[in-house]
Amino acid sequence: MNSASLKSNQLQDAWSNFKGGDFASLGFFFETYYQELFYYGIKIVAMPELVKDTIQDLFADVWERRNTMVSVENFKAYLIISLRRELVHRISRIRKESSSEALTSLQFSFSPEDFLISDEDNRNHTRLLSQSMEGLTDRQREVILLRFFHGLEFHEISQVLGMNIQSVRNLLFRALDKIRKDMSDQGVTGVENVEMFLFAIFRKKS
Amino acid sequence: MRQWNQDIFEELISNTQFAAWAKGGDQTNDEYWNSWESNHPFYIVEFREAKRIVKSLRFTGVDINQDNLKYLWAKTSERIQHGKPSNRFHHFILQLTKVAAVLLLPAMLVSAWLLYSQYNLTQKYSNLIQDKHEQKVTVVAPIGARILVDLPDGSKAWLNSGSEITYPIIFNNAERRVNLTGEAYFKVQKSETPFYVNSLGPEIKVYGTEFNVNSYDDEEMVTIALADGKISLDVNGKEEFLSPGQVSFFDKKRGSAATVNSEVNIYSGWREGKYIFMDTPLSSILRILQRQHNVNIQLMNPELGNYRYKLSINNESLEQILNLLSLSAPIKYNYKHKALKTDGTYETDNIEISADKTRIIKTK
Repeated sequence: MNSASLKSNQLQDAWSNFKGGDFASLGFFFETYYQELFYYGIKIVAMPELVKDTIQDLFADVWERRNTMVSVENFKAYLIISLRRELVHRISRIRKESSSEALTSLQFSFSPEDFLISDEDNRNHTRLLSQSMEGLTDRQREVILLRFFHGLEFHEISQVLGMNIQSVRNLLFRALDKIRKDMSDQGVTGVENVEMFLFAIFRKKS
Repeated sequence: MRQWNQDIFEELISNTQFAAWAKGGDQTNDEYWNSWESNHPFYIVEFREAKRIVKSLRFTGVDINQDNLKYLWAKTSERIQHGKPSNRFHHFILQLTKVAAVLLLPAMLVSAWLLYSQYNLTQKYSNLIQDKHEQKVTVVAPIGARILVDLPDGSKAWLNSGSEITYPIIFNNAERRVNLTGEAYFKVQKSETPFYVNSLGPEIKVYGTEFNVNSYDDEEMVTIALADGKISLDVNGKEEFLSPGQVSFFDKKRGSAATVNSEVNIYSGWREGKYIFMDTPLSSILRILQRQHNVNIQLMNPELGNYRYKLSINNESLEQILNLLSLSAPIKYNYKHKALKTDGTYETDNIEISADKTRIIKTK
């Protein structure tokens, strides 16, 4: 079940019950968002147990602070922001480095299995596509994940990454431009090959 | 060939409805976006490219089945409800320590300044003190709690649960006077200035001593037990002295006092959680338990209140005491744990005590 497929009034109902102190509603949110949070977490750091633990603590914290939570519209973004911050904090403790160092060493690497490929694989383009992707930074990969997988709005992404909205837009569209430009430079006729391209890039990274 | 329109492309990518639709699976906006495409032939390249990009960037995510999710939630909810202390808390304490350290320096500067200007303050203080005789402080020991109050003259008062003491911020030179409801043990500082305790019973005049006053409004008697020193009671205008080891019972209805020699520890043991009952009716014991544990105890058969107990309690839990009580008399109890009210607070626990018909009733 993906949170996007949930009706907004279903979320809204659970939210008002949750605000009224209904513990079962917290369980509903847990089961709704767990998969997304877990996926995001293991992309930040490939330590599933640490991620699971952190998500547990995150929900304990959410329960304690339920009175200060504002609206269900910002809730997923809140969870993602808190998870990222707490994971960075815990990684830095494990690695005995400051959190700003831990922050710069976040890895967003994807393997071909991370993507749904609908068209036929065309091996002629894989090398070309992977070359293009090497120009992308981990931040660009993260912004792609936040926009296209989690479906966050730009203002929410700006809070996750701690940068202003315009910078988020620039980061994302520069990444997308690069993909398109590299392809046309090589005479690839536009958009049809983007999938192949991305497939190759992420496979390279694995 | 016309120019590529980056704005339109970005607009579409930024549109969350578009992104949800282009991914596939969300058909609610099919009609809208299909007609958008046919209504904007000029932007068809941007539209298709945006759609293609979104479609390419579909992540598989992780697939955790429903049973697993249920199990993970069960583990998490157990952790939340049975409060395993989280690292977050320790982190918080650490932060607090840092804050404290930062605050220490200004605090020291302030203290230095205070010392320096002490002379000034002393002057102002003596003016202020006149007002303070009028100002009263009330300290309350809530049901279920005992507290120690330091009085302005250095005397101490241990307040039993559900008791209240009122005294001026600063005692005046003529007298030290406190008002008590409930029960307190006093250790009064020796002084030329007389110390008075006003309660539901006789006014107590104190000459520097230790004694216990039990003056709960739901008790028939006000009990005053002297441990050490000398006190006198003003019983209807007549001064009656107590010597150590003596206990005076003041009957509130009749307005008369009777003094006996007794073991004072029986009356002051509550400070350490000790209660000694000698031939005490169950109803009195239950009143004490209600105050100590913040519960409501109901006697389903009122005549049970007349059972007399010889019992000593030393910090046992409420359930242990109830067990003791039902062991030595044919009674049983039903503990109804607190229910959560709609405003998120808890109701007071209710305990019902009734006759245990299955046991033979022995009359004492």
